[in-house]
Amino acid sequence: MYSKLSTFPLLRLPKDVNTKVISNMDIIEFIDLSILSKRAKDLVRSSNRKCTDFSVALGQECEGLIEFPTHQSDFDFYSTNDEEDNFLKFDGLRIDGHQWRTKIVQNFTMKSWLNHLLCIFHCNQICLRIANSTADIELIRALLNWIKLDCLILEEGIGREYAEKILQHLPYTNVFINHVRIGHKEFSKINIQHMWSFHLEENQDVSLNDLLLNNSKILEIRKASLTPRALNRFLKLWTNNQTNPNLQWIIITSLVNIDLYDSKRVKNEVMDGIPHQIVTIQELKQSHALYNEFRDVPRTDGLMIHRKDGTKAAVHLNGFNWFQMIRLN
Amino acid sequence: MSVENAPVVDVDEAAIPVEKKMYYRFESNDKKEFRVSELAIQQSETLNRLVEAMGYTSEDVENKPAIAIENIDGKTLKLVFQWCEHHKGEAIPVDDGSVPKIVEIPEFDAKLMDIDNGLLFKLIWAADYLNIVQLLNVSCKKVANMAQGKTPAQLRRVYLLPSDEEDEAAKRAAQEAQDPRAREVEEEFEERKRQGGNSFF
Repeated sequence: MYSKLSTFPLLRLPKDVNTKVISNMDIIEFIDLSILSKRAKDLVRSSNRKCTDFSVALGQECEGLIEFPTHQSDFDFYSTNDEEDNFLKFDGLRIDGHQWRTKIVQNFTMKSWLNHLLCIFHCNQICLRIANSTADIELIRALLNWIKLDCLILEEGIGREYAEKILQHLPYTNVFINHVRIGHKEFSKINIQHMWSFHLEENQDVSLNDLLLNNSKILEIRKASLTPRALNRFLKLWTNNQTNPNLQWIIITSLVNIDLYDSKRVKNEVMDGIPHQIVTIQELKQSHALYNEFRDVPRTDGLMIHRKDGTKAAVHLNGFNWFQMIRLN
Repeated sequence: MSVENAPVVDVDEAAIPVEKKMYYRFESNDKKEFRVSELAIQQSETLNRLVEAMGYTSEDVENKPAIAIENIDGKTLKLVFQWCEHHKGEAIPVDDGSVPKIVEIPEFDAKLMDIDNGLLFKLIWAADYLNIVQLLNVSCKKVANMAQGKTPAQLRRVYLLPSDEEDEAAKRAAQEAQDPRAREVEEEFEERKRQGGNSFF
């Protein structure tokens, strides 16, 4: 039997072989190795351990989740100095309960840890969840620096003013706003940004004008205060090329001012004066990949409508509380 | 089957082949000769291609010189062929690119690799050179297992990983070894700076 600390010249193995060695290590050993030197960091990067999602939540704590194809690891940042409340200066990292106390990382801050982890796991974007209003926006901007903000989630509990500020000052691609009311004026300002998707949850003061200003490809509004009549107006403007040309998919739930048991009347009101024909869900699935790719797409027959420029879309109405329109070409 | 009983025949020790079937003769760089069965050879992509290309018959094997494997010594090659004989006929795993790898080290392999790290290092080089996928998998796993329960500082010692400063120093030393004049120029430059000169030329 040989001593536990007998040595092995890892770097003298062929490059693809030492990559194979590193591929056999668990995430903690992998990070341990990566902090030893630039060369060690390059080595672990070359083993191509890619995460699929990287999310950070700023609330009472700074925590997050790294997702890999086969497992996930949770982490949190903390201050080794109890008096420190600027999260950018948090210097401790815990992953799956493991803490790094070595001198090698004594100068690491939350920002440098974040950059390091994103680098070794081949990720250049994060999902940021903000759950309270204590984090200074400039600090968040400094934290993100080169990191692409793929997804921004604003949680219940942050103030309206703070939410509006965040939406104006951070660049993002996909936004989820949960239970935070956004003012009309601010809604218009944020909507003119280029976004991939925009999701609003619960009782937003969304008007038809807001829908027309929105520039995202996917727009989802849960529990909106829109009437069937407003949706009818929206569809008419769409058929006349007077709405957001990027819009590919719109989902609206919980319409208001309707008879809950008269879905036929709702349909008639929404589609009033708009030429349409029924298209079965089988036909839609066969000819449009989107119907097979996404979990939330409708499973019911649609109503095909046409825009002046030849663009087609399918409208789906599910009873009284659910409206979707999907652009087909 | 134990490691000791694996059917690799060292010619010096046993002149008669163990089984009457197609086998090949190989010679290590320190002139040790081995007889290895055709089925065992299939574990090595490199050797398998080599013997296929040579098109040897049983008579050729006897009459022609052993196939020389010039960059592997006898001690290492013996381990390699023991492993191949033990695992002959087994499917060769295909790397699906997943990380982390899920590799189990069978008991036989664990015993075979209960060797000093110098020999383990040679075994890995040989497995890579001979393209023996599963032997490479288990031996890499064995090296990865050395990291278990270690602190970063211990990992540095176990895997002989230099710090950035040591890497820089080694790089400078290598450059200087290539060009001795470079050091002189650098020293001259430093001296002029100390004397307050702002131009080197």
